[in-house]
Parts: sequence; structure tokens; C-alpha cells
Amino acid sequence: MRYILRKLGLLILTAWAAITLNFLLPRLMPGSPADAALAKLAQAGPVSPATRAAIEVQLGVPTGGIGSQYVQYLGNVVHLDFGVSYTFFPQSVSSLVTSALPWTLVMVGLVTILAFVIGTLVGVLAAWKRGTWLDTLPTLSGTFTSAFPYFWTALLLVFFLGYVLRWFPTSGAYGASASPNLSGTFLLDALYHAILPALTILITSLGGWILGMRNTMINTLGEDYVTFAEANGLRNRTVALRYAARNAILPSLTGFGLALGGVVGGSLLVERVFNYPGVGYLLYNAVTNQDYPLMQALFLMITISVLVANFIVDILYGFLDPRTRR
Amino acid sequence: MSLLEVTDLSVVYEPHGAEPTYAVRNASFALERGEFVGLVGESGSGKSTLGFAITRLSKAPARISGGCILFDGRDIAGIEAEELRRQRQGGFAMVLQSGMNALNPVRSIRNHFGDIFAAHGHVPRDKRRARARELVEKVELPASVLDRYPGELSGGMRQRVSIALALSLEPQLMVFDEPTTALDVLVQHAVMNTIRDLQRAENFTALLVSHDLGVVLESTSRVMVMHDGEIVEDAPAAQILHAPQHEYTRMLLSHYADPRAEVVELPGLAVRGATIETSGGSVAVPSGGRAGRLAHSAIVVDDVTKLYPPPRRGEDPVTAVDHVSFTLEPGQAMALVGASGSGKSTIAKLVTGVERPTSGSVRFGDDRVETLKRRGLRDLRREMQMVFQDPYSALNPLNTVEYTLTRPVVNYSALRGVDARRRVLELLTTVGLTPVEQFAAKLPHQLSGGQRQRVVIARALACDPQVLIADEPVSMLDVSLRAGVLALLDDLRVQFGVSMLYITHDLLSARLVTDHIMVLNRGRVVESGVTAQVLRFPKDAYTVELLDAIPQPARAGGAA
Amino acid sequence: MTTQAMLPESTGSTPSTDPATVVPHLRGPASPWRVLTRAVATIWSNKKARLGLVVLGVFVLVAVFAPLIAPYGASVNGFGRNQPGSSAHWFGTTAAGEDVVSQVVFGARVSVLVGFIAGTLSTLVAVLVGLSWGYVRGPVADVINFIVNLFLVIPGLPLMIVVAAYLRNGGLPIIILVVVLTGWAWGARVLRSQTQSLRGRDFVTAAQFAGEGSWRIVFREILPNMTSLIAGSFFGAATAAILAEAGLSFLGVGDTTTVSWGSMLFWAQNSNAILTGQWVLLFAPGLCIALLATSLTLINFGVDGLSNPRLREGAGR
Repeated sequence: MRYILRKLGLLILTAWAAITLNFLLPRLMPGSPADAALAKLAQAGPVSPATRAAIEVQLGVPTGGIGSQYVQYLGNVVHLDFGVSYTFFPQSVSSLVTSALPWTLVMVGLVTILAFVIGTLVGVLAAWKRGTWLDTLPTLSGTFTSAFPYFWTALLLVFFLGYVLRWFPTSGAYGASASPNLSGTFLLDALYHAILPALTILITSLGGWILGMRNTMINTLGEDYVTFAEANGLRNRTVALRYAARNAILPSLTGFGLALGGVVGGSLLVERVFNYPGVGYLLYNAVTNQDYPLMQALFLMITISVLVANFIVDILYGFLDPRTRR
Repeated sequence: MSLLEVTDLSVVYEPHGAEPTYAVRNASFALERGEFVGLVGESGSGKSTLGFAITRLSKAPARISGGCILFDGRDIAGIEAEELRRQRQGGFAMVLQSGMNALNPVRSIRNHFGDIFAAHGHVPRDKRRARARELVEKVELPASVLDRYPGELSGGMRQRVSIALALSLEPQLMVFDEPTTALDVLVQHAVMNTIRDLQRAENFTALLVSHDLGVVLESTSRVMVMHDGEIVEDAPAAQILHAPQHEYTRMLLSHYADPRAEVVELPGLAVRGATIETSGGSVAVPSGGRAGRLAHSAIVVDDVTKLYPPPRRGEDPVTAVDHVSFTLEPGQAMALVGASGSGKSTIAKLVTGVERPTSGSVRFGDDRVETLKRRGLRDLRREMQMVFQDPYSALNPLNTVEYTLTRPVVNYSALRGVDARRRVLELLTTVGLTPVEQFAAKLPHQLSGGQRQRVVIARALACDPQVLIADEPVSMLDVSLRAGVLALLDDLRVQFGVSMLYITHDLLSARLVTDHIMVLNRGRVVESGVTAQVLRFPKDAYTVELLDAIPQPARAGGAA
Repeated sequence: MTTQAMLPESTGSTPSTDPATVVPHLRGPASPWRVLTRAVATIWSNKKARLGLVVLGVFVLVAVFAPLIAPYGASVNGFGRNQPGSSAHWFGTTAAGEDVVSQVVFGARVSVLVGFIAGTLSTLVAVLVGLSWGYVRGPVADVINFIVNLFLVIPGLPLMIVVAAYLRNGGLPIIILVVVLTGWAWGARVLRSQTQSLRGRDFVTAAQFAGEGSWRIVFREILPNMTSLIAGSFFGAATAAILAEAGLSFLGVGDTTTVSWGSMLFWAQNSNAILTGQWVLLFAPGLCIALLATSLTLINFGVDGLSNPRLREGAGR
């Protein structure tokens, strides 16, 4: 319980630091992002005083007390008020983020967990069968595929499985004629559209999990408790899973938490290739249109999501390791 | 028929990309049912490799390269994995050296037993709880440990748990590989007693693998001596003790002595009578050495207490040192003895200024050690040097001997260039590392443990200090090397006229190189005085307990 | 002298000391060049790492001699557009009428440069932070701990994208700066824990007793024992930098007029190379990125031996 509270405290502290970083970032940049944003906004339509104030607080104006801006900014963040997007004028930033977030969370989240689970299992097997083809094949191919740029894997899959073989759709999250609802047909369609982006993330991130798990597993296989378990004649499955793998999963899980940021970053590029309507694609649009309010909000949301995911991983770790319970 | 019959067994190490080496060569021996046999050898002798081979636990790069192992009439050297696994119940079990790490940190003790019962099915489901309870009670642990995790148990408790686990296989043969090495002296003694009692009660055949001839002679009825991969002697314990045949066995034996004896002597170490008084004078300087400056400052420790913050919130702080006072006169050699946790190493840290006392004072000459800052500490260390316990960790693996010795010379004296080098070579001569030119260029891994420890001693003497703090300087060395290093330390101390604080748990070495002794228990001084006097006629119960924990080869054949 | 006889190919490049003199060599063994040849020899002795060195070597040579190797200039665009492969243009031409082979060759320059510079700078920061963090104790260490963990969990690429978006068209230096800013934390963490474990070793206490100052202990006693970790974090950081640069260029947030493998893919995607069937345009730059990154990963398999004195001296035999 103390462990969970400590991790929760750390989460809040880190989130605060990330929010502050988000506050400082546009203010540290040369030029005036706020002025640029207001100019852009004026092109899109009339700017209400409220919107102007929101943007000034978010992106910083050259004048005005930074302290009061910061307080107001924190208030806006708590109310999820990030102003108005001028790329998708007059939609509010928060409504845009809210509609994009589920796509990314579900698709990227599920695939990442899937990749971690598969990679871990393959890593366990590779370490257990060290030196055989069951080890060499996944290790070598994993070394190679984990060096693939995410977007390149995506482009290759689009080209070969999408254009040449025409097996899967190459763009979007659902068919052009459909509109999002929870019917079976729609979900199937969404699943069909998610296969290629998911496959991309799977292929590119799998290698890292395999290699990581294999290495920690090889270390735990050298531990005395594994030798002792063998000396006591435990079944191979028990030794491999409950003794070696069960301990190897702990450092692997820590690695998972830390590598999560990288996977999320990579999946942003994947969404761009597939025009998948998640936060990555939205961020791409924000960046190309210099839609600073949208960009800032998205960066904050992505960071907070990764922090929360890390917190969940920490809690899971505490659950798996009795040493943290004391 | 013998329970175990080993014929011409060889084990080879085949590391990747290196020459194969034979760790065990043509070993042949037999173990009779119910016999308690010892296997003794120094590090690198192949004794553990042999222990692993006969229980079929050898792992790559080690491989059984020839010979046969008849267990209960069946050759187990070549049987396949699943068959071997089944043999382990009711067959042969192993207790590993580091009981610390032999338990799975994420499984409770009860689950450890459960895994074994499930793997062999030799205990019916409904009897498993009771059986696990019975087993931990056999190793003198409360049944409550079953619901604990390994991290919550002390080292001694963990080693007892692994003995109970091995016992749960109901084996005919138990191999104990250095079962007490990583444990504290008093705990070692208690665990060995448990092992002996169990062997007698359960009547399994036991093989005790150890580097300590004393422990083995005390426990077993027959001893095999291993040297360089070969069994050089195999005889009843009494015969090993009184009429050793092999010269190596004789050498090992010559390094044992009873610190309580009237006269204690080891090869190369001067005889120390019961009434030797403190002598701070210098003696003749051998060629290559130089006249030392006599120590002239005393260390005065006055009512020192050291508290450490509690390991967990809500608990009391830990009292490492509890109102300790003593004086180390110039030129005196004083031993600080006690089990681990007695506070002896903390005292060394307080004296050298590494830690500051919570209350009380430490004075060296005119300095108050606990008030010294960076500059003052540096000046203090010019006068006060350390000899470390572990020669493998005390030398930077990437620095040559010459570099290591040059640094204190350059930092603490005006000698530079050729003069500094001359001083370094002189130091090497002093500690007996000749030819000096050759040793100066070596890296630590090219030296043996004993040679490394000599370099460590040379470094401590490099700045011509007044005081040496020696923290267990020989406990990591093989028995046969200890006397040499101790003799060197003793000679140099007298020759250079330095005082020495000698920290150890080993009463024999304390008897050999010190004049005065302080016995510590839980941070308190329980007894102090002239070394020979205190050890020969101990007054405090704790001192007696420490003395009793020393294995006595003279009690040989205890298990017969 | 024996130490020299064991070294590979060192006789020609270093002035050898006269074996007859007994002048002490107090400052330890090696010239930087000898250290480098010895390091390469150690890595070379590992099979996977050897393959990595060969691949990396090829890319470095291509990058250095790009003007000699490439048939045309990188931005020469007078050729026909979207042409398929021919004897004049092996991989065809781009939508802007540039020669693809030449672009791939010149693209190596950006990746190799970014990998080398960003890798070096990140490692430098990682070493400075990691070592001092591992050596100091108390509240300062806690603060550094928090900052490093923050940089570890904040997703690097989105941060890079945001920063790069503010500094529009900053070109390569900005990209390198951003990559370094987000890439040093991992190495710092690894080096810190190793520093902590080494500072607990007796030889560090012994150095204090030998009168050495803190800086000398950190950089002369502790640092050399971490050569393999430092080399490891260099290759790791370089790989991450190469992939990050490619990603940013692909998104078009860098300077899209610089010819790099990432920007080639950016233009290929924007000009719908997929629809025109020019798969080489997609395939070649990405494969180069993957191969370069793989070669660095492979080299990392061989750096373990660098800190081991046994392997150090055995490498030349």
C-alpha cells in the first residue's frame, strides 16, 4: 500500500513536471508562437476575446506576469480547456483530442501489450533453447527488424499487402461510407482497417522485447535458485516458467515501461502513413499547419498517457515482486 | 555394494574461444551407505566441480568427459534428462554454497516445498502441509517461515531452508557444497551442528565439500583431499589428522592451530608465547628497506557511539557502536574481534574518518578525527592507511602495480620521476614481490590472491604511515597463503614501527599478530586485554562462544 | 617490450620507446591511437560485431566519398520525372526528376553525420551526468534522479516533433540538438548504476586513502572501467539518433530540402510513389537506415570485452 502511494505521488509529481514543461516550451522558443497562432486564427475567422486570452495563456505573450499566466494555465489544463484549433476551426482542441484518443489508445495500446506478451514468450523460449534454431532465428531477425524505422515498415506493408496484393485497406480507420458506432459490422470493419497499422507496430517492436527478455532470462538461468530447482528435480516447465522466467519478467517489465515512450513515438509515424485518425495523425496535421494550441495539447495528452501507463506497469511490478511489498 | 562408486571421472571446462582445461582428472572413489565423507581442497582444486558432476548438475562450459558414476548400481553419468530428474527423488540431493541465492525470491517457502512435492508426487496431497512443517522443524526453524519469502529471512535461515528442501526429496545421498562459507562464524557453527545431527538422525550418506580442513575433520569420518583436479589422499579422518601421507595434506594441516594453546605457531610465523608484552621498537632493517619513522601518535577512542538510521520507517535506529573507549598506543598491535554486526568494521570507519560518530570523540595525536574536513582527512590518511579484505576488489583491474604504488608516493611525498620509481621498486622488494621490475609492470589479474594482497600492503606502506588499519586482510585468501601474508604484516609492522588495528573474526590470526585484543558483541566491548591472556583464559561467555565456534581438527572423527 | 609485442599494428603508428631505457612510464600505457586500434581489435574478435563493423565501414566510406561515388549531384533535377530504373538511372528518378542512386549515396552523409555527432554529444552528457550522479550522494542525487526519470518517460519523438515544429526549418543542427536533448537520459542511467557499484569497490576507497582527489578518482579510476558501457551507450544513442532524424525528416518537420534518407521517404510518400509503382524509391532509403542501425546494434555485441583487461591484452595474440 505504501508502495502504491509512493508511486502515485511520483506520478503526480512527474505529471506536474510534464505540464510545466509544456507551459515553458512555447515561451522558450524564439519568435512568438502566440502571435503566430493569433495571426493564423484571425485568418480563419473572428477571434473572440476569450479565445485570445486562452491562447495567450497557453502559448505565452511577451508581456504579462508569468506567474499569473502559469496559475491560469494550470486551471485550464485541469478543465481540459486548450482553446480552439485553427486547422479545424471552429472545433475546440479538447473535442479534437477526445475524438482521436480512443483510436490510438485501443489500437496502439492493444498491439503494444500483444507485442510485449508475444516477445516475452519468444524470448523465454529462445533463452531456454539457447544455441538452437529456436534461439538463433528470433534473435537474429529481432536484431534486424528492431532497427527498422516504424514508418518504413508501414510503407512496405502498404505497398506489398495493400497495393500489390490488395489484401488490406491502406488508409483510414474504417470504410469511407461508414460512420463510427458500436455495431458488429462497424467493429469488424474497424478491425480490418487496423490490421496493417497493428502489424507494423508488432513487427517493429517485437524484436526489442524478444532480445530484452532473452538476455534477462539468460541471466536468471545462471542464478543459484535455478540450479537448486534443477537439483531438486523440478519439472522443466516449472523451472523455466516459475523460477527463471518469473524472475526475468521483473527487469523486463521495467524495460517495458521505459521503452513505451519510444513505441508511442513510433506509432505516431505509423498513423501518419496510414492516415489513421488517432493522435499521431492529428499531431502531424497540427505540425504541418503550425496549429500550436492543438500541438501543445496533443503532446501533453501523449505524455500523460505514457506516464499513466508507466504507473500501471509500476503497480503491476509491485504486485509481482514480494520485495516491494515490505 | 557401495551407494556411490565413481571411476575415472574427468570433467573438462570448454569455454568459448579458449583452451579447454581439466578441472577434475580421473577421480575414483566410493561412498558407503550412511557414511559422512569430506572433500577438501583450496580454490581451483576442482572440489566443487566434482560435487556438481556426481549430482549431474554440471553446466556448460563444464562437461563430464569420461568415467562412470555408479549410483546404487546404475550408471548415472549418461542417463537422459527426464530419467535423471526422477532419480533425484529418493536419490541424490545438493545443498549449494550460497544458500543466500538458492531460493527463488518471488516464491514463498511453502511454494518451494509445494513445487518439489508436485514434481515427484511422493507425498500425498493431503499430507503436504504437515510434511513441509515437519521438514522445517527438522532444521530447527519455526513453522511460520513457510509463509515468508526468502528476502525476509536471514542468511542462516535461508541455508536451513535449502537443507530442508533437499531433505524433502528423501535422498540417499546429500552433497553439501561449502554449506556455511557465506555465513557468519557463529551461524556457521550452528548450521554445521544441524547438518551433523541430521545426518546421524536420518542416516543418509553425506559428502561435505569444503575448503576448511578444520570443519571437515570435525564433522566427517573419512576425508578426501583434492589438489589440482586430482584426489591426492583418501583416508579416515583420524589418519588424515595424525598420519597424513601426502605432502599437500601435511601443508594444509600445518596451517591449523588452536588459539587457546600455550604456544601458537604457523609455518613462517614467529612463536608467540603467553606473556609477550607490547614492543614498539624497530628491529634491524633488511636490505632494500629503509629505516621507518617510529609511530608517535596514539589513537584515543573516547566513549564513542554510532547510530545508523533505521532500515525501515517506524523502527529504532541501529546501534552499531555502543559507548566504546580504547587507546591504541604508538607501535601497538591491537585486534578487534567479533562476529559480523559486532561493530568492528564501523569502528575502523570511525577511526579513519570515513564515518563520524554520533557521540564521543576519536583523537589521533592532536587531531579530532570526527571534525576533519577534506584537507584534514587527507593529512590524516598520510599517517593512517588501510589494508583491505578483498584483494580482488582493492586493486583497480586496469592499473599496473607500478601505477597503483606510484600514486600515494607522488601524492604524499616530494618524490617524482625516477626517485618515485625507485621508491616503488623498494616497496615491492619490501613485500617480497621480486623480481621487482617484472611485478611493477603487471596488472592485478596476472597476480595470485596472495601477491595481490602484498601489493595492497605495499600501497598502504607507500606513504610511510604511523598506523595500519587491517580489515580482515587474510579472510579471502586460501589457507596456505594466509600465514605468509600474516607474517609479512607482522614483520613490517615491527620493522617500520607502525601501530596496527587488526580487525577480524578469526581468533587464530589475532593471536598470531597482535599484542592486545578487544572482543566486541553488538557494538559493545565485552572483554579486552593482552591477546594471549584473553584467548587462553576467556572470561566473557561471548568470547568462549567465539572460541568454541572454531573448528577443531583434534575433534576428528566426531561423526564416526 | 612485451606490452608492445602483443599489440596489433602499433609499431608503425606510434613512436616506440627504447627498450633499454628504464625511464618510468608513470602515466599509464597508451596513446589514443593505440587505444583505438586495440578497441577495434577487441570488437573485431566477435563475429557479429565484425559484420557490423564491415557494414558500418561501407556506409562511412560511401558518406565520405559520396561525390566520387554518386553518378550525379544530389539535387540535380534535370532528368525525366518518375522514370523507372534504366542504365542511366539504376533506381530510376524521383517525382522532381532527381537520380535516386545519387540521392541514396548522398543521404548516407546525413545519417552518418547525425549518428556520429548526436551519438557523441549524448554520450558526453550521459557520461558527465551519470558519473557525477553516481558519485555524489544526498539530495542532489535525488533531484538528478527525478530529472533523468522525467526525460526517460517523456516520449522522445513527440517532444522532438513539437520542438522541431517551433524551430521551423532549423536544419540539421537543430535536429541534432533536439535528438541530444531527448537521448542522453538512458545512457546516464546505465552509467550511473555502474558508477555506484564501482564506487562501492575497495579500490575507490583505496584511491581516497592514496590521497587522490575526487575528479581523479572519477575519471582515472572509475571511468576506464566503464569503457564498454560508454561505447555501448554511444552506439545505442547513435542508433536512436539516426532513427529519430529519419522520422523527423519523414514527417517533414526538419529541412525538407536537405537530401537525407528520411526526406527521400517524405517526398516519396508525398508524391505517391506507391501509386506510380516506384517501390525502389520506398525500399532503398529505408533499407539503408535499417542496415546502418543494425550494424550499430551488431557492433554493440562486441563492446562487452572493452573493459576486460584480460581481453584487452589478449586481443592482439
